[in-house]
Parts: sequence; C-alpha cells; structure tokens
Amino acid sequence: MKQLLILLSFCFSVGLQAQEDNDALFTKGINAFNEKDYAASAQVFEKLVKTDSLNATLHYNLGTAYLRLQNTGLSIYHLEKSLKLQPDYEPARINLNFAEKLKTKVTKGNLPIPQQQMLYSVFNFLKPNTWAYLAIASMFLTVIVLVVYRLNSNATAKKALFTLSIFTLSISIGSYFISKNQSDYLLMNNYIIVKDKDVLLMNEPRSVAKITATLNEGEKGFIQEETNQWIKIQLQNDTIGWVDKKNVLQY
Amino acid sequence: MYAKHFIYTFLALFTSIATWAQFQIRTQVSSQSIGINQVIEVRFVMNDDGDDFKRPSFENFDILGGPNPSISYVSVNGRNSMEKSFSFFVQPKKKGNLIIGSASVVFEGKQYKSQQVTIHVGDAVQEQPRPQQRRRDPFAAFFEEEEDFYNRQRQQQQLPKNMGQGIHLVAKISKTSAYVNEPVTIEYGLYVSDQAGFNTMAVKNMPKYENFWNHMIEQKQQNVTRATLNGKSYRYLALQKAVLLPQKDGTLKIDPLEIELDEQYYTGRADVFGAPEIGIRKKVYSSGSKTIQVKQLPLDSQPAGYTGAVGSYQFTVQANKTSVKANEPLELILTVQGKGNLDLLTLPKPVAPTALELYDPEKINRVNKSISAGMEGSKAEKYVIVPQYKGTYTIEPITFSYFDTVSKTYKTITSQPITIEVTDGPELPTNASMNNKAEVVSDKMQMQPLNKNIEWFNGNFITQNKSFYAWWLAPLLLLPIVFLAKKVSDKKAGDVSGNKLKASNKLAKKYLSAAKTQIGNKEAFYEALERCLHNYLKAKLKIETTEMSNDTITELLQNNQINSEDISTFISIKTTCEMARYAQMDIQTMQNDYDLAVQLINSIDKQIKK
Repeated sequence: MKQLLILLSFCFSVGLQAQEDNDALFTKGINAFNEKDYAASAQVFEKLVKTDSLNATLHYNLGTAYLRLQNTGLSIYHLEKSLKLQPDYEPARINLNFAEKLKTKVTKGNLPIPQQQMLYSVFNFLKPNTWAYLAIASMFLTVIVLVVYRLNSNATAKKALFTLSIFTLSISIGSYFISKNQSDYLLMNNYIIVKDKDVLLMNEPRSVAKITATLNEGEKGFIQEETNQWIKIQLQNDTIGWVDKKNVLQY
Repeated sequence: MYAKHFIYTFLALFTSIATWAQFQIRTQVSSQSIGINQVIEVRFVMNDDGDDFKRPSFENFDILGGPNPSISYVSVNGRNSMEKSFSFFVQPKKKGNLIIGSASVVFEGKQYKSQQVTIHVGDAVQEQPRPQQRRRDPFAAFFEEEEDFYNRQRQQQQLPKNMGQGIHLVAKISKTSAYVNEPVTIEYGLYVSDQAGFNTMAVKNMPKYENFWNHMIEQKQQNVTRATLNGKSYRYLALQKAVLLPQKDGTLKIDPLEIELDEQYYTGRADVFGAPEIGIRKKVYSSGSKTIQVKQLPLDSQPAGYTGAVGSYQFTVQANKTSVKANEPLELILTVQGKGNLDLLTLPKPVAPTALELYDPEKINRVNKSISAGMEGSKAEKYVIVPQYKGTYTIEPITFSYFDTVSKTYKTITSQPITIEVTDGPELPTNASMNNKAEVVSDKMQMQPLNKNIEWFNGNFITQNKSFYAWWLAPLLLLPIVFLAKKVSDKKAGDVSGNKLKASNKLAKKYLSAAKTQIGNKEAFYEALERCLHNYLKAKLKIETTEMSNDTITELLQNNQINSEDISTFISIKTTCEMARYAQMDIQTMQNDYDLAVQLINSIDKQIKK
C-alpha cells in the first residue's frame, strides 16, 4: 500500500500547491524577459532550475536570459544542458551558436561522444519515466497472459498466449533498460563548461603543478577522470589536463 | 725652443733694469668673486726668507686647509732669488664683500704687512666651475713679479671680457594661435656668438608636448649656419624641429627645452706662453616655456560627414578602368592632397552596390613634415573591386569635408559618380530568390525567444527508486503462486484412477490416430481401429481382453449407464471390424467408420464422466 502511494505521488508530481507556485514563477520569468529585464528573468529561472534541474525548457530559458546578459560561460552551459536533455530542440541550437560568438577565442575540434548519448537520442521520443511505466505495465500484461495460458486447455490458444507473453516480457525488459540508460545518462556528467575567466589547466591535480594552458570562459571539455577537487578533462584541441572543480560547471 | 729663448732674453733684459733687494709680501687669491659654496685659495707670498709669519684672522671664512708652506730658490746667472709662501684654502661663511686681512712677517728685524683683499661672495653656484688644471711652472715667480711688463708686451692681445655671455637657446613657434588639429611647428635653436664656445652638450629636459600630437622632423645632419638675433650675428644650430597638432582647445603650454653646456670661459689668467687661459664650466640653458592659444572648431556649421580634417586639401576619386568583365578586379583610388593634419584625418568610404565586391583598402601615405609648411603631402586609399555579375553599376559620389584654416570655414568636396560597366559574366539573380534566401538566413540569424510551454518534470527518475523494482518484478511472483494453485486444485479433483484414465485417453488417441494414418489400407485400418476400441474399453470399463465378447461388452456398458444407441453403435463397429478383416468390403466405408468411432468415443467418454 505504501509503495502504491509513492508511485501515485510520482504520477502527480510533488504536490499541486508547489506546482502552482512554479507556474507563477515561470510566468514571472517570461514577463521579465519580455520587458528586457534579463537579470531578473535569469534570477527567476535560476530559482526554478534549482527545483527542477533536469527540465530542458527551464535550462533553455535560463541560457537565453544569460545570453542576453552577455554572460558567456553560464549561457553556454545552460543551453548545452538544455540540448543534452532535449537533443532535437532547434531554438537551443541556434541560441547556442550566438553564445559561442561571445567567446573571446574560437576553438575548433570535436570532443568524444558518450555511447549513452546516441541511445538517448534514438529513444528520446518517450521520457525516461514513461519508459519505466511502460516496463511496469508490460510486466503486468505478461503475468496476466501467462495466467490465462496456464488456465486455458486449448492448445492453439495456449501457443498464441505463450508467444504473446514472451513478446510483452521482452518489451518490459527493453523499456526498463532504456529508462535506466536515459536516467543514468541525464544524471551523469560527461562534459564541463569553464565558467570563469582565465582558468588554469594543470598538469597534475595539485594547485602547485605545472600550468598546461589557460582556459577562456565558455570553453568545453570532456570529463575523463574525477577526484574530490579536480577534474581531468580533454579539450577540443585534444589537450588534457586537470582543472579545479569550482571553476567549471558540469553537465 | 722658442719659449726658452724668449725666457732668456726676457731675463737678460730684466736683470739689467731691475732694482732688487726690496722685501715684499703680497696676498694672492685664486678668485675675487665666488659663490658662497665655493672654496678659494689664499696665498701669502714673500720674496725673501721672512720669519715669524702671522696669518690674518679670516673672520668670515672657514679654514679648510693650510697653512701649506713652500720655499723655492732660483739661481740665474749667479744671481739668487727665492720665494717663500704660505697658502690657505678657505670657504666664505656669508655673502657680501668680505675682507681678508693682512698677514705680517718679520724680515731683518722689520715687520712687513701684506695688503688687504676684498672678496665678493655671491649666490651659491650649482655646478662648481672646474678650472682646468692650473699650470704651475717654476717660473711663476717671474711672471708674477713682472706682470706689468708682461701686460705691456701683450698690449694688442685684448682679452674678450664678455666671453661666455653670447649663448642663447631660443624656441620659435610658427603661430601662437591655432585651431584644434591645425599643425603648428616648433623649432629649438642654439645661438652662439663668435666670442663664445662650448665643448659638449647634454639634454637635461625634453619637452613632452602634452595635449599635442607631435611629429618630429628628422634632421639628416646638423649644420651650423649664421643667423642674426637682436641685430647681432651668431652661429646658429637647430636642435629640434617638430610639427604639433593641438588636441584640445584652451591655452596649451609647451614645456621648455633645457640643455647643459660645457661652456668655455677665460679664467682671467694667462698660460705660460701668454695665451689667455681657458676654463670650462657647466651651465644650464632653458628655452623658456611657450603657450599656444587653441581654438575649438566651430561646431554649428560642421558638415555631416566631417572626419576631422583641418588645413587646405584637394580630394579626388579615380577608377583605373570603367569597363570590366565579371571577376576582373578594378581599382578605386581616393586621394586627399594638401596641407594640414594629414596624419589624423580619415578618408570617407565609398559605397558600392552589393554586386560589386569591395575589399579592404590599401593605404598609401606620402606625408612630408617641414618647418615651413608643417605637414603636407597626400593620403590615399586604394580599394580593389571585383564585380560579381553582369550589368551597369554606379559608385555614389563621395564627399570629403575639411576645415579651411585660411578662410576659417568648412569646405566640402564632392566627387563625380563613377559608372562601372560589367560587360561579361553571370546575370544578377532575380530579386525574389535573393529575398527568399535573405529571409531564411535572417530567421537562422535571429536569437530565439523563450519557450513558453513548460512541462514540469521535477527531476525524479522512478528507475532510481527501489519501489520501481518492487512494482516491476512483483507480478512475476504471482506466476508461481497461480501455477502452484492450479496444480493443487488438479490434485484435489483427480485420484490415481483419474491419472490412469488420462493415460488411457492418450492411448485411445494414439490408436485412433494410428488408425487414421492407415486410412486407405483396409486390413491395417480395421485392425488398428479394433485394437483402439479394445484399449479404450480396457481403460474406461476396466475389462480384460479375455472378456471381450459382445455380450460382456453390452452388459458392462449397460452397467455403466451408457445409452443403448451407443452400445449398438459400438457393437456394430466391432462387428464391421471383424467382418472387414475376413471379408471383402467397400473401400468408402473406412472414413465413415473412423468418424463413427471418434463420435462414439466422445459420446461414451461424456457419459462415463457423469
């Protein structure tokens, strides 16, 4: 019974009251943006992003507000994050191009793409939670079909029912793995965006190490390794080094 | 050699005339006029060996050194002479005319006194004059004693008294009143009179020209020329020339140029050969600061495209060809020529249709800077134009405006429009397609607005929660329960005989199906069918094969409450089978008999179950 309640609470989000508050805030953010008060708009969306950190729309709106404020690092970060959550969202791609133009130095080159990203793009037509519900539903169906199969004595019907149960079971398992992959991918950080100016890239994860390069605001890197304070990243020009976590944003 | 002869002749003359043997004490000072920070040497010289020398008190002086006694004997042609002296180095304590008192000495019982000397002490001198090493020679006594004679001898060689006073450093500016950006020239020059001279020169302070753009005029070589200043003739050396462009209105000050010269001067003494002694002292000269009144350009009548040119100019626009093929470059040259602030003005930009590709210009500056004209020359920009499409294009007239310093008004020069004919090449794309393309680009080029549709997600992945697994896998637990329940219910419903029945049903089916395969083969079919029926009865009615007579079967079936119809059918099928095995029969009945057997088995089965 308790579990049923938890599941119900997932279905109806956290609470209706909180949702209404968020709706009001969201409208406030949109209005502030339309009145060209980008700083206030960014503040509102920043607050919303804290409560709903994996919402592509919120990240897109926040990134666009930062773009208007000419904040290179944060606008690139939030637009990239929005594209990670919703890879086919074209306006985010266009605005990201604008944000890239804010960078003082243009870097060329490609970063590695994690495998999960490909899977995510392919199965993104359903949300991760929808996949999970599908997994549960098809599992129920499988059991029902198997029970019917057991009680039925008609050979042909039995054969058909058995095939059906195999089919629904594979859908259930497949949906579970897709859902798991998607949520893991969204919760995992694969890239960093440099948020400060003139961030030092070190040779080793120590503050007194040799400096490999100086990074500009908005630069992108692929995470290779991580310690408590340091992240080993690969830059677009294939340079590898360690950077302090507090100077970067991960997504 | 000559000097030696001179001295001997001189001494010969002297001995014949002089009346000697008179004791004398004299005071000599190295300088009669000094600065308060300078040191002088005071010598008391006697011409015989006097005793009991008493120095003066030097009330207004500090004695830094001395007394330094010295005695010298000279013997010439058997005649002996001697000189005895005491010298002191003293420094004045205060300014003004200070008196050095008399020194006394006793000679042959008689006291002699030297004369008093007055020293003029002036302001402190920054750089202490460093006299060249004094030439002292053993014959100094003679010169000093025979000064009158010596002067007579050199009567005609007048010492230039005013030496060192003929040097002037002068700054000349071309105008003291100018407009902002109007070139002004400044020249620093050194006037040196024929009486003066200097050895080396060092610049102590260079003017910084604040609030001016300055352009130094480089001098290839420094030539000394003659020039007049205040009606007198001087040698003239130009030190620095510059063209200045005032950047701000108001009274602007130009700092002075300061130089330090090692200046030559006469010490007032003569060297051993009678030539006047030349000393060298350092002296700082300053040109004095200059001010320029700078006026703001009139703002009210300023033309629209004014870019800051001041002076007098000519403006031309030229294309090297007017008829070209597409993708063939042509050059467009904009030239400004004249006098004024050429360095600071910017040339207007030509406006060309988009079908003509206009590249960034090459800049050609030919500017001469001189004192007479300030800045003059030409400034040009060469644009390369590459036409893309066939057609006739016009480059709009270009206007250039400047402030004329002579008439004090703005003047605007407008060039003629230039028509360029592109004779060969692709046609200009139609407007429609161009517009479409532009639209698509502009849409992509615009920053996208916010997304107003929000789907709240709240970041909870249910796969991350353990209860998901409970919900997902719980139904699977149901399966064993259901399967087990079914099995238990089956056990309750049936018993051991039930299981046996199940086996015999299988047997019956097996034999019926065996008979079915034998349809068409008469003997085998009926044999199989009969065996099947026997087996079935064995299973259902628990009879042994030995009891398989028609009567027993009928009785048994009746006991089992099988209706008589089925019993007669059974008997008839059995009879048919036995007949078929031993007698000829029609083939067509086989299928009928099979179907009949199946129906019969089903019917009996149902009745037994009841």
